[in-house]
Amino acid sequence: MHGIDEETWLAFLDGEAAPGVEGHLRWCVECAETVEQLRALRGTLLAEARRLRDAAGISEARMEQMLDACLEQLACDREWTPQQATYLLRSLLEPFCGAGAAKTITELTIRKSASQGFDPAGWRLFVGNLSRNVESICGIATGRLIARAGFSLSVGSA
Amino acid sequence: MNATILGEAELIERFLSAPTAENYAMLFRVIAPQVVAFLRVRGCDPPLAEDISQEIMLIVYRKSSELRDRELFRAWLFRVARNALLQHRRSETRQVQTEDIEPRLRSHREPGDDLLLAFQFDEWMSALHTDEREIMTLRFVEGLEYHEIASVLSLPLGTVQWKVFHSKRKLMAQFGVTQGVQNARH
Repeated sequence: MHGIDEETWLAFLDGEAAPGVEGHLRWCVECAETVEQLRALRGTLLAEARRLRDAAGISEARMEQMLDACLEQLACDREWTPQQATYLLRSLLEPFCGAGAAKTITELTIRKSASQGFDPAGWRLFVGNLSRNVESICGIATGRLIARAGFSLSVGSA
Repeated sequence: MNATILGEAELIERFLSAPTAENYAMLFRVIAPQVVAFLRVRGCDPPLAEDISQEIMLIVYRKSSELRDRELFRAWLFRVARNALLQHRRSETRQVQTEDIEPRLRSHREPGDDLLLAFQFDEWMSALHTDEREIMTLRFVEGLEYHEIASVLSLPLGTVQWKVFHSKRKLMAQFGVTQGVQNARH
């Protein structure tokens, strides 16, 4: 538009500095008017969206009920010990690469990852490493399956 | 600790670093209303919006450890919300054997139970294509940045920027500009 590329216009309208555009707007009435209209439209959209968002909220009492229900449900979630969770992943892996390879990959990954213990962060590290190791041997899909299964388990300390 | 003292970004960071029940509860109070609003704005009645929101908030607790980029928590949250809503619509569609999801939802809307119908925003959005409408709603109602919208919808950033710009031009052309539009309605 008027010798200014689209990308520069978009950046300018998003509030980025664009000296070329600013200079152009000083003398081009048409563009100055369009920019002003776009800014006004943005303000109106924001105001209307805020009204809509406010009207779509929920009461504090209802929210507390929802929170209580969620916490209650989460409390029922089973927490696995690291040994149980590792065994589950190994069992999941066996059909893809055989029991021997599954055992070896799992044990090597434990040696590599478990030096900091199996707190939640340690478990995530272990699952990430195991997923990568499995991926290199059994393929991307199996690696991802292991990652998804591993990350979905709630693991507590031994 | 009072959640309102901490900003949303801090609450997210706290929860992702230490997903304790206390940190979850503080984050819940800030983001659950946004999730409910997300669903209400997309045509869910209050009980349904609350039910689906509860499922989404459980996913937040159970799956947030999979999140690789913490900066994209909000994008991830709304992607989860979007998927949950699509899944609900799919199951509902299977039950009533309806062909197209979007028109069906819109045709079932009645003034008494549809929040959007009371707002100018809906009239504006009806002038846009489905994808433009979704992008504009994520941008203005959910308040997402362009890169977050790109992540929620799996679109290139440039496409999102262009569609927002193009939608604004369309709205300007269709409804005239702001004051005029407001005066026509109110």
